Amino acid sequence: MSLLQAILDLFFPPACPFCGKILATGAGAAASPGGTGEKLPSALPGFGEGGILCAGCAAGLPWLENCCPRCARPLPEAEKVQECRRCRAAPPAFDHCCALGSYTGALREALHRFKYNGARGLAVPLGRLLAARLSAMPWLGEVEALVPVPLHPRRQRERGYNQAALLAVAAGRELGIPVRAMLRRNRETKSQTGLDRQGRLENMQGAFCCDAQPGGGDSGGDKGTGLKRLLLVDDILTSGATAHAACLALRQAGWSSVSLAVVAR
Amino acid sequence: MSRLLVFVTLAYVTGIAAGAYLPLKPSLYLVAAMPVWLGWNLWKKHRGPLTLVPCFILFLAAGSLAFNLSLDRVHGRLQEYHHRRCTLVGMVADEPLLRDGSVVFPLALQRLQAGGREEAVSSTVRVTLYQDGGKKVVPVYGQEISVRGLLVVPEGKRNPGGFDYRSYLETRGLSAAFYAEARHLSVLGYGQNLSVVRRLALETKEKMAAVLQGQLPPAAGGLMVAMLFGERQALTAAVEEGIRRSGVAHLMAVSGLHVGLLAAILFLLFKRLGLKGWPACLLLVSLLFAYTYLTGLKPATLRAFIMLALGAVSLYLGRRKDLPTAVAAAALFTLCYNPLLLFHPGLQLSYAATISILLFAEPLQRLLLQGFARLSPPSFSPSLQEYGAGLLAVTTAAQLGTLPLSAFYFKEISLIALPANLLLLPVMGLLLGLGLFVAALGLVLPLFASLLGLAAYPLLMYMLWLTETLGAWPFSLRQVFPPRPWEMAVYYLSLLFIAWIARKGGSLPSLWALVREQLHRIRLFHLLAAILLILLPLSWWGRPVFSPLPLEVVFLDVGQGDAIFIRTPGGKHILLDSGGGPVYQDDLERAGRLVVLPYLQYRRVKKLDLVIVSHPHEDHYGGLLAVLAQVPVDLFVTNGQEVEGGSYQKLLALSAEKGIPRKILQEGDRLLLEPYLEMTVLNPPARLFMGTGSDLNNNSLVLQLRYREVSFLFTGDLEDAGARQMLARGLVPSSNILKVPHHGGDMAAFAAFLDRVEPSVAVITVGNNPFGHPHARILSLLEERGIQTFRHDRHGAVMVRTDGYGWKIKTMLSPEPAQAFLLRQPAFARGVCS
Repeated sequence: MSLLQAILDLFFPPACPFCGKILATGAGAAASPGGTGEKLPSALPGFGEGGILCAGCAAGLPWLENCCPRCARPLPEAEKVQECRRCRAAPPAFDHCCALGSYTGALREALHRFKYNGARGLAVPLGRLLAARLSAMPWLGEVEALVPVPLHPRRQRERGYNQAALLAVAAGRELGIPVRAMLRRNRETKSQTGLDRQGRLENMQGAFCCDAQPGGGDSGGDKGTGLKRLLLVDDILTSGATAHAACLALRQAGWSSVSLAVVAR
Repeated sequence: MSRLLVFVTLAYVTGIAAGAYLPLKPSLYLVAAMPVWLGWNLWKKHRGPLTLVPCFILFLAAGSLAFNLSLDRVHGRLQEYHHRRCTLVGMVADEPLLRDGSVVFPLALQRLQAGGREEAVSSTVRVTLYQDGGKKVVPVYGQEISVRGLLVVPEGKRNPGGFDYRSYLETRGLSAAFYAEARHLSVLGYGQNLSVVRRLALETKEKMAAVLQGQLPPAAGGLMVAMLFGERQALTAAVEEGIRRSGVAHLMAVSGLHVGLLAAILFLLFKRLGLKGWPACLLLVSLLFAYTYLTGLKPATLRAFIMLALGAVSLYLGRRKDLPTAVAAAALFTLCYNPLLLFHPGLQLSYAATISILLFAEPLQRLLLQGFARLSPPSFSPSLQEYGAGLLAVTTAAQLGTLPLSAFYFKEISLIALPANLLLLPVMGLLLGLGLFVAALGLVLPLFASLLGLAAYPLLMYMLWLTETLGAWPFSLRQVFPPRPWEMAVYYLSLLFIAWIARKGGSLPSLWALVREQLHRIRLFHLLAAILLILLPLSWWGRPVFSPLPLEVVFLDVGQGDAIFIRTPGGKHILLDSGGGPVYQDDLERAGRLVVLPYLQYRRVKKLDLVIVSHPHEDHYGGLLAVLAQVPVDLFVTNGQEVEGGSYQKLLALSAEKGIPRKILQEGDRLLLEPYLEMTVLNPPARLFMGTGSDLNNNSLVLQLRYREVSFLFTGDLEDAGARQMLARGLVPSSNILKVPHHGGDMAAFAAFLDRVEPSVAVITVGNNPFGHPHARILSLLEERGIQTFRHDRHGAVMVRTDGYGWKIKTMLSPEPAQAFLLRQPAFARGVCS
């Protein structure tokens, strides 16, 4: 934690991103052992340290525990660890999807504040939570960079920030993986809300383009690592249309393996 | 501890509050060790309960050090010039305050000349400049002046329940009071140390005030200026009275309401203009600071500013703001800037209100909404219900938080504060917004401003009408006895307890479950600690709880003059003389108003059973004019000497008007006040003295008060002739405690008198006087005989308690003029009958 963060934490003490309860941090963290309690889901290792969220929310949030590894859709008990029927029928452009929870309840409210109410500070706890979930993924070792889904420049000016980029930075810092904004919006798209699945897919078609080739000269100094996987980061996965289009753009640029990480679906 | 800043601030505040009692050197070492400790913690990444304790201790030490250092800095080296005439050279450090017949302003000293010696000094003093008729002399802020007058470094509180002028000055960064006449002032020009920004701020404010007052009638304009800039002196006396009586005086202090409104207006404006990100944040914070600066950086304004600035930054950062942390940050910042502000009533009231609102506004609003839901049909405008409940909840919470403090400082509470605030607060927003707009616009476009000013007029008239009407109700204001510190502590602790319950759930069954849960946690160790804590003070008092009250005799310090308060073992109250002239010739009742009445309020005396005037001199009866007007009296005793006309006749008329029976006592009279408590009259004789040096003095009532084996001799202003006659007739009884006659004035027969009285303790009721009291011979006679001597000018009030066999004496001031902060500690003495 940088000095600036420490000072900011002093004046704006870190609160649980979901219920707003002030967390025990700093000098007093060890006073309540484990910080955030013992009732954490097993799939979320390391949540206790540093106090990202309060024990009540850790126990009560709609975490996704048993879901399709390809698209993170919840699975019935029988189909453990296998791809769901839909993915088998029509595979999405990404190889895996890692989602923190379902887009309901407190998670939905938090994301709403994060996206629409200017609560950009939520990027840090959400990103760290996402990182904690990601670190349990077997394919994480292959990931070369995190790629945030871009906003159209005008939209970003209006909002003042790109929530996916903030998330990627926070998660990348936690995981020690660089963040590379290699996607761009080709054109301005209509809002996805109010469209059906087909409409959304059409709406997003060709919306993105990618600037960097794998092993390309402009991509910086990580040549020769042998890792070729990219991890696309977004806040919410609904129909998968946006992610699908972004992944297609990456694949067209030559990236053969792309995974997806979202906070909620 | 989840809120580190709150924790640290609590430690720091405790350090300041206890600063006078904490040892200085260990604090110094601890604070010096602080960086080492911080570095070590950062290095080791240490966290946990073990670091919380050192953290608390370190900030406690920092608070205590800050308190003592700033006290030292305030005082400088002026102590040695106490009560001397000197010439000061310095800069007028703020706008002068205009009073009736005088001008008051702070003067930042550069040089001081006294007795042909000149010294460079760097403290600030409060100058009171008396206007001696003719042209009014009003210095301007920033002027360098030279002025000759009397320097007074006030001691701490001289009387229980009295006004602490010293700490009043200290909290305002002033080291001394200086009294001068206008003709002894000469202006040297503008000082070089003048802060340009401050000057500009003052000029802007003055211009804005002029705009407002130019466009509105005097009463309304004054009200507007008072509300916008927190300048109560802009109000006319009648308006101020109404505002005080209706309990809305807090609207005249620039605080959260004002700064918050400005912030909201600016925020909306910026949004309209499309300004956002850090430029908007920076601009907003700097404009808010400009307003805070304009209104003189008062504690309440500073608190509001810091909290709102943190809110703005939190918006910009997208971080959740935490109000308790914001309050703590404001307190920490304010008290680092000046630790002595902790004792400033304005600061205490402001923070009490804020914290109380934080704790109670929300649960109260919830409760009220529940109540509304039961009372009214659910369809009735829910947003209006919410608004009303919110307003009522905030007002009630603020009142809850400030009630004991305002009772303590103002000795009165407004009973209609709640409805008055409810009726006024809704228009405040509009009024302040309009006022600010008009004032700012008036600087550029006077014509538009005057039109808008007219729009504010009806609102101002409404406010004036409301405060006047409500304030006129006889029951609107109630005088109360000031609460004692422990009562306030109990009150606030129970408030905190209630807040805790409200947070934990609220309902009674859940409360019971909670208590049971907590009870389970109690260990034997806690119980033992609690019992010890309860028993310890009992053993310190060293007497059973239900024994009879001790006899208390309190020699109040009224300067040169007598005012002796007696509380009998049976709980009766006697007042023997009541201070007054001749020092305060112009204001006879002053001692009564400023010393005796506050003391009676402090003691919660509802009625005086007996009032005695030893003889008709102003320094003995003057204050009684104020006392009789306020406190019911059962019996009024005098010595039978009549004086023609003047104030004494006024006093007799007043007592007659109040229907107080009057009794004349003379030698030979005895009053058995209570079992074992007897008062014997030893002077004047049946035939009053005539033709002595001062008949008035010699005819003083001389009284012996005896309780079991301890006796007091009160001698009034007895002089040589009277003393000789008493000696000759064997009327001088031996007594343990002697009030030295006539403020220690010379008396030839004093040696013989002393040998007959054989006192262990002598009290000289002497203040600053032109008569050379106490006389050196009297003092040396007392010293020769090893009689413990107390005097008002050195000790302040002298309080004697006796159980009839021994006595304990406490004084308000310590006689050694040692280091500044030691002055606060009183002296103790004990004695027993031999």
